This record gives sequence, structure tokens and C-alpha cells, in this order.
Amino acid sequence: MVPKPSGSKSRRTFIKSLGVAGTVALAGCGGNGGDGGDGGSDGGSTGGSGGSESYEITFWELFSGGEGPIMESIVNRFNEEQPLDTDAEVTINRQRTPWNEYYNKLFTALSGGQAPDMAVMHAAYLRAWAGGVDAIGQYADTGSMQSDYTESHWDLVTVDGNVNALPMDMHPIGVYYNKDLFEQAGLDPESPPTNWSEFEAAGNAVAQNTDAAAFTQSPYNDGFGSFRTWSTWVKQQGGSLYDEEWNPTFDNEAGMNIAQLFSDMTGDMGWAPATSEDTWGNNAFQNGSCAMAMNGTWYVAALSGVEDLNWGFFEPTVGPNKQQDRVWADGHSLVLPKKDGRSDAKSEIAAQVGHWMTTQNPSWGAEAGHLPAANSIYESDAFQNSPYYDKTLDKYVEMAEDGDYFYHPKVPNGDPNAQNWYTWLVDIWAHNAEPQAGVQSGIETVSSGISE
Amino acid sequence: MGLRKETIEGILWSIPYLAVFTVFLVWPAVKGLYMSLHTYPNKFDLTETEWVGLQNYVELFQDPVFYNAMEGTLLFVAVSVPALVILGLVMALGVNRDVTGKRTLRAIYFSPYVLTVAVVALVWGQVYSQSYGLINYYLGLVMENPPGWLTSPDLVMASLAFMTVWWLVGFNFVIFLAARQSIPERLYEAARLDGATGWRAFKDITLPQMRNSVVFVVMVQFILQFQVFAQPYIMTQGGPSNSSDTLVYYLYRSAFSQQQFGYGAAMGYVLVAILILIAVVNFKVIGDSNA
Repeated sequence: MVPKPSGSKSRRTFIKSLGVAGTVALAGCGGNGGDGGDGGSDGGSTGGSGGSESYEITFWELFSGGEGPIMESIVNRFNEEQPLDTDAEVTINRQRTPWNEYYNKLFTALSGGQAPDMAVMHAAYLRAWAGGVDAIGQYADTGSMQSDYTESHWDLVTVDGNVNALPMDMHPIGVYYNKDLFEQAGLDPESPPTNWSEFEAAGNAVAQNTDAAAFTQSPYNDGFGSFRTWSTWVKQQGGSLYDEEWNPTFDNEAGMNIAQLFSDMTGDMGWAPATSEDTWGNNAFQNGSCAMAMNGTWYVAALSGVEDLNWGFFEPTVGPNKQQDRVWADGHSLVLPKKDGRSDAKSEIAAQVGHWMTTQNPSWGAEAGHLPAANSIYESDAFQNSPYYDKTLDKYVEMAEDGDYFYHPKVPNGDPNAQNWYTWLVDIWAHNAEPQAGVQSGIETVSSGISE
Repeated sequence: MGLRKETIEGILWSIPYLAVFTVFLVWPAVKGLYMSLHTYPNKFDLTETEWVGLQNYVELFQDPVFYNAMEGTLLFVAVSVPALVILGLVMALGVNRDVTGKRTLRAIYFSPYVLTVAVVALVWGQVYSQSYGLINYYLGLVMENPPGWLTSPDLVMASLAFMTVWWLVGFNFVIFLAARQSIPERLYEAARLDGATGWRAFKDITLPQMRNSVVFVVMVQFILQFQVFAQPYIMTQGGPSNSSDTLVYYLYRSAFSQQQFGYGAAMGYVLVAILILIAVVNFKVIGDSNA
């Protein structure tokens, strides 16, 4: 489950597998024996593009903020460099859709037969969407590709033994903190909390000694963001979230404790105002009036543009009554949505594009702050010398090496990242619901969402 | 022969519209009815259907989320429609008078209407913001904890309705102004000779003469506001505590987020039934005595 961090062995396997992948690519181009016809001409004849040597791979993605321009630069690089080992001209036609619209749009396109050739998908969706994507193993030699990626990333894209996608990154959460506010509160800004008593003391010190708020459970005060923080601490207490049939079980003691903690943080503890305003936490953290914010890897891209914000980062393994280190993570992956009329040759090309995108672009980790899926990128200078490496990435790598990450189950139905599955947590945070009633309504919402 | 030619011409002239009407209204309506009586076991292949009869409707009427969304919608309609009608009327009658700057006022009243809902939502999201919004900036000068306009379950629907009135009242204003200006001035002159001015003239001349416009505006506003979607979708996602959930927003979620097309279609048909009922009641109550 742990990314293989270093060592010549994995580097060797990577180089070896590159050789295999190259051979596969050549095979795809030079003819597949009995399959009749090479990739290029097959694409031409069934793709209907007229010329036999050109493919346009339509690609949908959902990256905004700091990640969007990085993905754009990756696509531009591909279109300019033509890095695939094929005679055909391959271009990526990228289309970005905001993340809250993305899956609805992708679903509608899929059911209407207008899906893109390649799309970004969170690993948590891979089971519910299994009927809508072509397993990537149909079009690529996943056996040889597997060694290019870390084990834990590979596990993320494997559903019931099928490799449904190529992994791109992993994005766990952590706690971003304001060093200046820590100093004002009388805390050592270079020694952030490492356990609950230190975390509690830090929060109380900020609340008592400064005008700032101490903590936000999610900068956007959104349901799913709140759930990441809450489930992380529930798991740290040893509480379960779902049973084996994906029935939610988080109304257990641990779940109730953390729900009560949320309510207390905006109540008796005085750590943050009891509000459901979605912009509060992000504004407050960025303008220096909130000391700590729990959020994912992607937050670095947003914070890097904020002047005069002296921020640091620590591992969120600071939940109360901790039994084990556990930190929520999900990952982006690349899928080939089902599409009538797409030739096998084009699907093979799309799989190669996905492989290139996920293994040959260190900028995705180094600049967007994600944990890259490819072993080679882990070990690359670009990643190790990233401006974020010492700030966040090294801690993320450390948590990965320690096996701290857990993933929400890939539910068979419903939308595991839906805001409205988890708004009950915002209700508890904002004191619109009592913890007990809030958790109960959460159980009902998630149960009915999964069973539908 | 002449009549026959006219008939043929009439039919020919109607065809383009009827074709569009059939393709974009009749066919989707029939298809929607079909969908509401089926489920889609494979959500990625909508050619696979399973007949379930009225099951979607039965489930709908047992669904607490549906009733919550219905409640939210009714609250929104109850606040916004009277305000849209009465305020539009008052504004129209106000600038119908010979006041200075009435042309400017007309332009100002109508201008919000030309904005798209996304723009309106963005602007009002800023205005309503609890911690840095314009309203709470001023309220903060006189009170300690100004309310959360979009974050308080008790206030959120009224806030969305208020914003909607600001945005849409210009349309009603224009309709009412046109209606008021088409009332012959001699009616008021005759009334003045009989000593009827002010309220009396409004009640016995203005309102009856404007009845058709009022019926039209009330009807249109009921139909439009019952379908409120974009405001909660963009601004609140139905929150806090599901207090700004609405029928069309729930319909959208059911069909496109939860991929229950049959259930969503059934909800659409219930909405249509409600709107037809409202239209009929509307005609009976305020539209009948047109004699």
C-alpha cells in the first residue's frame, strides 16, 4: 500500500518497463499480427478522419485554480512534442469543466453517446462508473505498466481485479497553519502540533491570545471537505465509516465524538464562528485571521499566490483519543469512457496518451503539489527540488511511507464526493443541527444515496 | 377554391412552428411521461428500460426530501410572487405620473432584468455575505452580530426571494406600465367630474382596466417562480440544513447527480400538474369576471 520511495530497484523496474511499454507502443504502430491492420490505418478507416495518420483525442478534465494551467501546459507539451512512438499525428483536444459540474456533464455525455475519448476521474468513482468506462487493460499492457506506478496508486484504480484507469496522483489532506499567528499566540511556529494535546493547546492559545480564529475544518465549509476532516479523525479513533456492503456505519462512538468536537469548536471552545458561510474559512486563512485550515494537497497552488502569508504545514494525525495514524486520500486517474464508434486503434492511442501523461510529467507533482503516481517522478529531481517539497510534499511522502492513508470506499452507487451527502456536517459545525441529529440525518442521506 | 387555397396556405404557414413545437415540446413531453413510468437499470445505457408503472410516483409521495423541497418552493413562491406583482404595479403607477426623471427611473427599474441569473447570484452572493457583505458591513455599525442572510435556515429563502424580486420586477413593471398607459384618459376625467379620485379611481378604473395584465403577470410569475432553480443551485446548494431546497433543484439532483431519470421525470410531471392547477385556479379567481 506504500509508494516505493526510492532505491535502484524501482528505478530499474521503471526503466525496464519503459522498454516494454515502448515495445507495446511499437507493436501498436507496426501491426498487431492477426488483428488485421495497424493502429494508424485502423484509426483512419474507422475513425473517419480521412487521413490515415491523425488522431484527435478529446480529453475532459476538471482542474481549476493553480492546477488548471499546469494541466494545460502538459497538454500543450504533448501536442508540440508528439512524444508517442507512432507515425500518426496525435493531438489532445482538452476541455475543462468546473469540478462541481464535471461528473454530471460527463455522465450526461456518456449516456447520450457523446463521451470524450479520455477523462479525469477520482478513484472513489471508479466502482460506480465501472459500467461507463472501458477497462484500460483492454487497450494497454497493464501488466507491464504496473511497475511504473506506486503500489498504492495502482490499488486505487483497481476495482474487483480490473484495472479501470491509469493513476495520475494521490491527494491526501493535511493541516496548513499560519506561522505569524502561532508566534502571536506564544507558540513556536517551527514546532507545529504532533498530537491531540499539542493541537488542542495550540488552538486554545490562538483563541485566547489573538483576535484570529483557531481552525477551519474545511476552508470552503463544504460538506465533502468537512467529511474529509471528520472521517480522518474518526478513523484515527478506530471508528469505521462503512461496512463491507457499503452501508454507512459512522454513527458509532468515534463518529459521535468527532461530531461533538465539531460542534464544540464553534461553540464552547471558541475556535471559529458557528457559520455555514462557504467563503469564510478560505478568506480567513488567506487574510491571516484563521490560524489552521485542514485541506488537501491542491491548496498549495492557491496559497502560493497569496503575498505575506507565512504558512507552514503539519500532518493531520492529531485527532483526539487516537488509536492509529489515518489520513484521508483520494486520487485522480485517467479513464477511457465508453464511446460507440471509437476504434480500438484510437483507444490504444488514448491509453498511451494516458500513460505518457501520468509518467512523464513531473510538473503535476512539483507544481500542483500532488503526490505523483509514477515511481520515476517520485525519484525525479524536478519533484525532489519542488518549491513545495520541504513545505508539504515531504510530509505527504512520509505519511505514504508510513502507510497512513485510507480511502473512502468506492461505493457501487451514488456520488461519494457529493456535497449534499455531507452537508449535515456543515450543519453541525454551524450549529444548525445537534451532533446526534446531524449524524443520524447523515446516515439516512448516505444510505439512500447508495441504495438508489 | 379560394377558401381551399387559404386553408392550404394556413396549414403551410403553420408547419414550421408546429414542427418546432412537436420536436421540442410534444415529443419531450411524451418521452418524459414514458420515462416517468420506467427505471433505467443501466445508467450508462438509456436504451435499457424497465417498466415500473406508477412506482416512481408512489415513491415520490413517500419521499421526505420531496416534501421538504415542496415546502421550500412554496415558501419562495409565497414571498416572491406577491412582491413581484405588487411592487411592479406600484413602480409602474409611480413613474406613470409626471415626475421628473421618470425616463431615467424606467431605465433603472428595468436594467436588472437584463442580467443573467449567474451574474445576479454572484453580485448578491457578495452583498449577502455574512462576514464581509455590503449589508452586514452597515448592519455591523449598529449591531454586534448581523445575521447570515444565506447561512441562516430561517432567512435564506426570503433572501433568495428578495434578490429575485430585485432581478425580475422590471419585467412586470414594463407590462404594467404599458397597460396603464393604454387606459383612456377620458375615464379618469369622467371620474374626476363625479368626484372620484385617488384610491377610488384606482379601485374602480385602473385595476379593472388592467385586469388582463394582472392575470397575465400573476400567472407568469407563479409558473416561473415555481420553477426556481438557479438561485439555490448557484448560491446555497439547497443549504443550510436543506432549507433552500426546491422542486426543480431536487429534480435536477435526482436525474443528473443520482442518475434516476425515471424518478426525475415523475417529479417533472408532478410539477406540471401543480402548475396546471395553479393556472386554472388563477383564471377562476381573478380572471373570470372579464365581462
